[in-house]
Amino acid sequence: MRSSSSSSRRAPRPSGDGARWAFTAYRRVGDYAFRICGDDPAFLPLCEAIYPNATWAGGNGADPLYRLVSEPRGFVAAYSPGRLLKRSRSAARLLVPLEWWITYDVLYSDPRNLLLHGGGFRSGDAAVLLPGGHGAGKTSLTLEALYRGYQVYSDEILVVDPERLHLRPYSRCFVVKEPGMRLFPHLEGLYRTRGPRKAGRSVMVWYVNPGEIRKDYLAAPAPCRWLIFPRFRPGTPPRLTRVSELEVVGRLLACVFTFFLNRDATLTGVAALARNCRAYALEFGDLRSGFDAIEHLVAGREAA
Amino acid sequence: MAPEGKASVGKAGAVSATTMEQEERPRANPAVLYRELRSGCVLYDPGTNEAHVLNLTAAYIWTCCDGSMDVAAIAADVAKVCQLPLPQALKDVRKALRSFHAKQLLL
Repeated sequence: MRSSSSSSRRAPRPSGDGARWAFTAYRRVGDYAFRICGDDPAFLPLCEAIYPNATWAGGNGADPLYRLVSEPRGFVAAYSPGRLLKRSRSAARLLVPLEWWITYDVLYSDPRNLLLHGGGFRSGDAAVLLPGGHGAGKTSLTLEALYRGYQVYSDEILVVDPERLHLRPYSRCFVVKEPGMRLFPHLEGLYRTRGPRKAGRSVMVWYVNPGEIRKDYLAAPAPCRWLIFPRFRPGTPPRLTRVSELEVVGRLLACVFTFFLNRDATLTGVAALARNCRAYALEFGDLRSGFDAIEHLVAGREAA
Repeated sequence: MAPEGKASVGKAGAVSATTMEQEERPRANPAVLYRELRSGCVLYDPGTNEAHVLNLTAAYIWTCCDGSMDVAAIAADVAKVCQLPLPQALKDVRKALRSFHAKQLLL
C-alpha cells in the first residue's frame, strides 16, 4: 500500500455535501481517498493526527466523508459515511475510534494484501518485520529504528504483498502508549488522548508523526527477509532464539488482520513468509540492547 | 514420531475401530485449504475456523488422503519415503489419521 501525499492541509474547496464546515481535510492512502470535515475549528488538531502525511490535493466531493460535529448539550460526535462511530463530551475521545475506523476502511479497500499486526523497518535491501501482539514492544522498537537512521514501514500494521512477498510502506501516525513514551522523553506527540480500555484500564496514547522525526522516514517496498517476534519482559537480557518454520505459521496466524477477508491469499502469504524468512523470537527487557541484538543479527547475516 | 505441531487444535474425540481399518481409503475434506511449507504444511479448515500445522511426515500422509489409497498403501509409501520400518509407519499413519478424523479434516 503506497502512501501518496501532496499539499493542501486545509483545502479551501467545498466539501461537496452542501454543509458548512469549518475545515475540510483531504487525504489519500494507497488508492483510498477520503475527506475529514469538522464544524468547529477546535477539531482541527484532532483531524491533523489522522494520516498527517497523506494530504491529497486531488480530493473532491465524491470521496467518502468522515465528520466531526458538535451536537446539542455539549456533545461532539464522529461519523463515518452513514454511521455514528462515537459520541462524547470530549473531542479527544473521538480520535481513536475515528482513526481506527478510517484505518480499517483504508486497509480493506485492497483485500489482496496480507495485513499483519506488527512494526517493521528496512535494513539494506531487506524488510525486517516485527510481528507481535499488544505490549510486545513493536512501536518502541520501530521508533528506535527510526532514531537510529533506518527507514520504517509502520509501527502497527504490516502490509505485505503476498505474491511478491514485499513489505509495503504504510504511512500512519505512530501510536505510542504511556510506557513507551517514557523511553523517548524528548518526543512530543501531535495529539494525546486516552486509549481504548483493555483489562479494565485505559492508558494514555500519543499520536506521533514520524515525519516530524525525519522527513524521509518511510521505507520503499522491499522483500520480506526477517521475522523477529518481539516480547518485552522487564529485567530480561536480550535473547534471540530461532523459530521453526512450523511455529512461525502459528505465530503469524495469531497476528493476521485479514483472515476473514481473504483466507486463500492470507494463508498463501503466511506460508510464503514462513518459507522464505529467517525467523527469531526476541525477548528483551531494555529497548536499546534489544534493538542492538536485532541490528547485530541482521547486519551480521547481511555481511555474511 | 509426533505427527504434528499445532496452531489450534480441537479436542481429540473417540474414533470407532472401523474407521481405522486398513481397507479405509481416507479422503481429505475438499473445503480444507492446504499450503506447503519446507518442513511440513499448514491446513486451514473454514468449517471449524482452525489452522493446523503438520510436520513433513504428517503432511505427506495428508497428501495421500485423496481417496485412492488405503491405510496399508499409505503406510507402505510412508515407510519407503521416510525410511521407516513398516510397523512403525503403519502406527504413525493410524495416529495421524485418527488425529485428522478427530479434527474433521477428512470426509
